[in-house]
Amino acid sequence: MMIRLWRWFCLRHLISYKGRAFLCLLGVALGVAVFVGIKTAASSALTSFQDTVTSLAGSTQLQVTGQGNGFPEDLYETVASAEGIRAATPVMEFNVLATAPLDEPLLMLGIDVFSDQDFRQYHFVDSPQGSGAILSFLTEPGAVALTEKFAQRHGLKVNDQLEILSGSKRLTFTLRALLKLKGPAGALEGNVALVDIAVAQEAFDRIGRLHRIDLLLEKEAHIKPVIAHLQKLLPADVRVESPQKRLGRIREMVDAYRLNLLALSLIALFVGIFLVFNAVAFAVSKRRYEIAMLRVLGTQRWQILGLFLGEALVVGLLGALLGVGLGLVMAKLALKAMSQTISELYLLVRAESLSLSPLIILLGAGTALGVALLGGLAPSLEASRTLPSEALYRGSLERRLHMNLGKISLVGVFVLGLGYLCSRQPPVKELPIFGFLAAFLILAGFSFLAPASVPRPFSQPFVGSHRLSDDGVGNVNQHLHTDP
Amino acid sequence: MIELDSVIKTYTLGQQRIKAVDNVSLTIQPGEFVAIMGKSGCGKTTLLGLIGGLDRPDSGTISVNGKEISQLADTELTRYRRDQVGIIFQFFNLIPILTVAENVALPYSLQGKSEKEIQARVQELLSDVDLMERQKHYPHEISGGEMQRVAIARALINQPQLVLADEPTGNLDSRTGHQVMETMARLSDRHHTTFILATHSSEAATYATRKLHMRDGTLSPTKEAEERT
Repeated sequence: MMIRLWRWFCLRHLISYKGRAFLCLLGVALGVAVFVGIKTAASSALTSFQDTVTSLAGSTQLQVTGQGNGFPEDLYETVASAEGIRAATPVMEFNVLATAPLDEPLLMLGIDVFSDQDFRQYHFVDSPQGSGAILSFLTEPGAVALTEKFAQRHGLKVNDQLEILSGSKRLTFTLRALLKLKGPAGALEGNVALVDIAVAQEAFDRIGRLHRIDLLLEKEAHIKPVIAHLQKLLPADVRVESPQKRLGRIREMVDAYRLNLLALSLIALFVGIFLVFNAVAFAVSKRRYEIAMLRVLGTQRWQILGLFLGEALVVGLLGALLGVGLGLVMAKLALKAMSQTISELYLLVRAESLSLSPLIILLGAGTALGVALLGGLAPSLEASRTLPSEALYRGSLERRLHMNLGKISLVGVFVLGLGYLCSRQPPVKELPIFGFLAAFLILAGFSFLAPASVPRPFSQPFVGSHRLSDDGVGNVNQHLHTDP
Repeated sequence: MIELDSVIKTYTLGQQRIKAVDNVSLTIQPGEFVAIMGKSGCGKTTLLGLIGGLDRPDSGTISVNGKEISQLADTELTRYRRDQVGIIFQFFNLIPILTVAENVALPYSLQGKSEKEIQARVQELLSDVDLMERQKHYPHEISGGEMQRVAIARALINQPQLVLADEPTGNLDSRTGHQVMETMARLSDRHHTTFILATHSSEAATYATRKLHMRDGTLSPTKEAEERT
């Protein structure tokens, strides 16, 4: 019975007011899209970053890292000979750009091939043992190894020249070996180049400097005391931490970035709630006569409530479908920007594929339904309160709103005041929680003030209109107006 | 049987309190066709609204078949309107987005009947009011007389014990009004339904078996009825 009623009274109206329904649906969808997009992009970027860090770290237990230009090479001896250290290998990392027509970012790793063997395994194409290839690019200055995937994509063969750009400096290398997409070479979808550390230092004018030292600990050594010991031996701007800790730092950075964007998505969702409220309130107001007739003919209040909530729910469902779809498109676009931010601040990340999380998609869809129900609740309740005797004329909701206009506007001013106070508060644990709250409250405050800005005659009840005179019960009121 | 005892209904308009129904007591037997006559604004429609469970009295009691409807909870009152009352309005009050057949089917559908039951009953009633060929039309596509016949069919579909008609001919020309009243009288007779007709038309009132006069919220027998007694 409810399905039949819904088909007659709601579906037909949704179809009749396609534009309004679509706008409302779009409001919900956009909020959900931003939510799903940001969550998915951040999660994909982090996954990619995690893969990169893990692949590049190999079996590394601790990493010594410097800031900017790295730290003096002399520290290598200090670190390598420190108590609890079983093996150490120096690493240089450069984010470079393979010049046109290749035009792709590359992570160029400068490694000491001998000491690096304890940490990572490189697999060379056409060289099962790999030693020949390693030796050849160790002995030749300007030699580079690229992944087979990268080389094939750009039609590069062994002995071809590779021109790269580092900052404003152009450098030319000779491709001497091809790497299989395994181990560290599998990072960044294969956009990895391998050079001897001495070649790297010379080519990039970093002679006597290191970016990183990877460490393996003695079996009996514990990480924390070793870190503390190393930290005492090293200058203050040189950090000792595990690759996981390093990952955690990036995660925090991405979390802050994600929080900012999530706050934006919440504001978009708020707009969605507002749009659904507006659409359902319009529908209730527009269909006052029908609701009253339904009540007259014996429709229960909960059935009226169900009809309108059902309408909001359908908008929510369609919004969820559209929003999740749009969100994935948005995630693809945001992923590029996020990868770029992480690459510029930390380590080259090349996240190409989205890691889809069913949880995020379900959360997005659930949010859409929640937004729709929340937006539709007040006007649906209002509709369900329609009395058969009083509601055979339109405009009751607007009238109530007008009656409470002063109070609503006061609430708006109060909420705006709260928003101002929140905007003056400092961050909480470096997070602009009050800032987000302020943005939300300001939006909410203006929403409360909005009804007062609507010209009064526009939302006056339709007393005396043809619709009022269309009904019998309404006649009572009409007659009473005229009777002494 | 419908019994009203000292029913009062007051409206407040600004500072003014107006008694729309003033201490009305009335008994209507099952199957009676009662006409309540009076000028516009005398309180007829308010009285029909109270009997039909669209509104509640400020004081006094309204009982239908021994059950006091003025004390019913909203759910019960809604069920009373759905199952026991049919209402015909002056301006027909059809739902514009529903076809003729759907308008008629609506109250029956609210009773949770199956599609098959609804179809059968709708066809029967549309045939009764001679609107079979109009069933797929929308209200704006049919004439006033046809709309009122649709409203009559809608009022009767749940086989209510009581039909309230508020100026059913008020918006029709005299010939169509006459046809509508004929239809109502015929169906009242056939279904043994109690009809309460609010009208200011003495012509429409001739179809009633009892006539009452309403003035300033109070009810009294018509002069004609007084003379007869």
